[in-house]
Amino acid sequence: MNYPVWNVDILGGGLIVAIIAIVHMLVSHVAVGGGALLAVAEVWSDGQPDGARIRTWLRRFATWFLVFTTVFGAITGVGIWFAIQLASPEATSLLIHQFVFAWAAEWVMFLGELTVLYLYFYGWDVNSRAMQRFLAVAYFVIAWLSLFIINGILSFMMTPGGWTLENRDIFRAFFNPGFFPLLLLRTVVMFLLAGLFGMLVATRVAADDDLKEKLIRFCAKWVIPAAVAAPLLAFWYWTTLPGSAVALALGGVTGVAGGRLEVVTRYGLLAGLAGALILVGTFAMALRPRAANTAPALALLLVAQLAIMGGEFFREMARKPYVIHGVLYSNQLWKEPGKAPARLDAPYLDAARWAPRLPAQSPARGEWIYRLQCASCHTIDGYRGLMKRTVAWTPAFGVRWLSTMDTLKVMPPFEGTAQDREALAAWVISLHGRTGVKP
Amino acid sequence: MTLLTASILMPAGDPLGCAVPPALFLALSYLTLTLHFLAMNFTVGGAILLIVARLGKGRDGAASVRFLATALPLGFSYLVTFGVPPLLFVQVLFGQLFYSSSVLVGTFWILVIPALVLAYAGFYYHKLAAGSASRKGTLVVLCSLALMLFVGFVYVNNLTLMQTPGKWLATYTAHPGGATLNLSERTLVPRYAFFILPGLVVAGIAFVLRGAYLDRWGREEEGRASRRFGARAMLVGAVLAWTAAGGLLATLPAAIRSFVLGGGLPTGLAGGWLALSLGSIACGLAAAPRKGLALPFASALLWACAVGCIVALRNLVRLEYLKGFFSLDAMPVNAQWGMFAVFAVTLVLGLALLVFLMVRIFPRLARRP
Ligand code: HEC
Ligand code: HEM
Repeated sequence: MNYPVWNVDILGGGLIVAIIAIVHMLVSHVAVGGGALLAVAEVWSDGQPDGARIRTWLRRFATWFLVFTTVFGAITGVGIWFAIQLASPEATSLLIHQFVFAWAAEWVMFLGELTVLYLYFYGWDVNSRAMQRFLAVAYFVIAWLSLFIINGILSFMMTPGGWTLENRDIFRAFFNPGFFPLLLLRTVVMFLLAGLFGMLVATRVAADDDLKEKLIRFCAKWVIPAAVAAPLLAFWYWTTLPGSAVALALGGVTGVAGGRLEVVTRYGLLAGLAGALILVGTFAMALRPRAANTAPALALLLVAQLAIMGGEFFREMARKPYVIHGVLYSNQLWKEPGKAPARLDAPYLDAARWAPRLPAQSPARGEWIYRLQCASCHTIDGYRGLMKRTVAWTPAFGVRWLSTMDTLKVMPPFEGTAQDREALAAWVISLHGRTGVKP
Repeated sequence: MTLLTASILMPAGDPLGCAVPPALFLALSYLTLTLHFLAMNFTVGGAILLIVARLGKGRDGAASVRFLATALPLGFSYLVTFGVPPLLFVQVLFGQLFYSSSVLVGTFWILVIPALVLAYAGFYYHKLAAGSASRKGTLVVLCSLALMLFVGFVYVNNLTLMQTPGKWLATYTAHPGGATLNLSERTLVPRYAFFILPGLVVAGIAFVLRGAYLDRWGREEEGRASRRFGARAMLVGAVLAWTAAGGLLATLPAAIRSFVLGGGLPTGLAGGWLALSLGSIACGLAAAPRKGLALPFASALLWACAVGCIVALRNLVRLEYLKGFFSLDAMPVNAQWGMFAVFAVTLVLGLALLVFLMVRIFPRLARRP
């Protein structure tokens, strides 16, 4: 065990990553798609008789867009780094070392995106029309390139493809099997989100104004094709997933609520429902644009957020027990035994760096094994709580269960000796107020 | 904790090694971290001056408030942007140390994120929604300032813990959830003060520069007031920073202190910092009663170089702390020159575009009343 494990009560580190990632996914896709909307609307407004009024609205859109994307987008992006570095330092280290210059290039995009947006926004009254159009288009292109780069790194985690620790082939790592389907999926989703965000801002235009009708219909045209295309692209992505992930998703695992439900059904339902709601809602708004008000527009955006959440959890679940598929487990154990600091069947705590030296019979040994091996995915009695899942454990059952835990396909194999398993089982049982007598 | 335990604890370096020789990453890190510190100082110092300006009455105050209301969200944005590359490079070069200490203070480390969001949102709220005379505006800026001070404090805790691996195991054993800071560190408070207080200097320089431009645009009354206000802030900030530097030297472990003062490059950097900062303050004070752009720009440039010295010295000191546990020379290099070239080309093209746009747009923006 190279790194300490961040033991977060109740929530667990993984859930904190998920919360930040979900918010960031929404905002960053709005940031790219919104750029496209700005660019197209800049050009479109020039050919319209009421172009000046459209641009007045556009300025309002840009104000909200600027605050929303710079405050929430930029900071939650940094936030993902903070969270993954706490929840999976080993994996983060691998990604950083492999992709450092991709990230550095991504940062150049980030710097460009921000600066161009500021020049566009603060230069509103002094820039020529041509300059404003150029800035809006440049913003979109740069923002999309940043999506292009980050997509290579994110898709790598699920489908490392031909990359291995030995060949360190960055080309194959970056253009991995999931790269193109996910790039297209993200591009389509970002148009959808930009349209929804635009509708939200457009609902603030006075209802008796023709402009409102025009703007809402303009935005709806971004949402509807995207909502139709997204499921098709999602299916394409599905076909690139590794076999074990597909099996896991189809096979299902014991659900949080206790019952068994196939992962793919659960998240497929969520995504399908969300997509249908967005389609219906957008149609309704486009048909009666003057009646559209802010609350339903906001609700649609929240529904989209739910769908993104479904997607994120699906990805997390399908990738179990790995952070980097086939390479590194979520609890920072390397798949290749040669890479593991501790061997699978060697005494665990002696080789683990981050445990105090405990006497052989100490009950605390079990707790430390939990802390270093299980706590990156489980909490004691909060998210994916261990208490609820071990009510029926006896010492003998616990030891047996631990020796075959990897056959459930969602967990890495247990690291350690028979004594280590006994110690962990005894500690787990003691949580239930029973004695942890050795079998 | 003995040396032995600490070196057993030290995580193994990443199997992928370093993508270009460490010196190149260090150079990139020095450059961007200097910009991070300057933007961070401007924003923290500017928030203090904004509160001063809001509490003080009069016309100059109102103009300063308007200036800062626009400038601070931008300052915040760039302090974050220029914090990203050093955050990348610190993980490449010092990953073993940085990940470990971050997990050890994990609860506070993750709280940095909501603190940043709220602080940043506060500055925008102040700009877009709070009336210029309202009490609420002052209060919001005060909250943003407090949140930024919190963030800086957590950084200092993490970065000092990172270079003292002897403390790690005890810290982790006592708080596996990361709800702890490195408060037992003797250098903590002076170090924090040393990095934060120059904020007044940098924000002061911004006011001196602004004053010089106001003169040029024929608003001499306002220009003079801005230069005076800025120079005063610079002086106060510098005196505080020099004092904090003394405090920091006094609390350093003896071996590190003699490393800093014992001659060679570290002493040169420390001396360089002192000389450059003195020069910068002198130019700033000289600019207060005079018109012209030369002195304000000289003051800004000297201060930026002074910060550069500290950024480099800070890293040498870190390596000295870690002697025996960790060395950059031990890191294998698995060169990725192709990717480096991709990055370099992207950077050159990106900067060229931005410079081109700014050259075209800034003069027009500046001429706006
Ligand atoms: C890679 C993340 C991961 C790690 C590491 C992990 N688990 Fe799990 N565990 C899961 C998932 C996912 C499930 C299935 C979903 C659920 O129960 O919420 C699960 C389920 C369980 C269950 C319920 C199984 C059932 O069939 O009801 C137990 C008990 C359990 N884990 C114990 C442990 C113990 C003990 C450790 C440490 C040795 C551990 N887990 C390590 C992810 C993990
Ligand atoms: C209000 C916000 C912030 C404040 C006040 C602040 C302040 C500081 C301070 C005081 C230090 C020096 C600590 C020390 O050496 O003891 C520091 C270092 C650093 N900051 Fe910031 N910071 C802020 C935001 C950020 C953000 C958002 C990032 C990243 C995106 C960042 C990245 C860094 C990095 C990477 C270092 C250390 C680099 C190294 O040691 O190599 N900071 N910051």
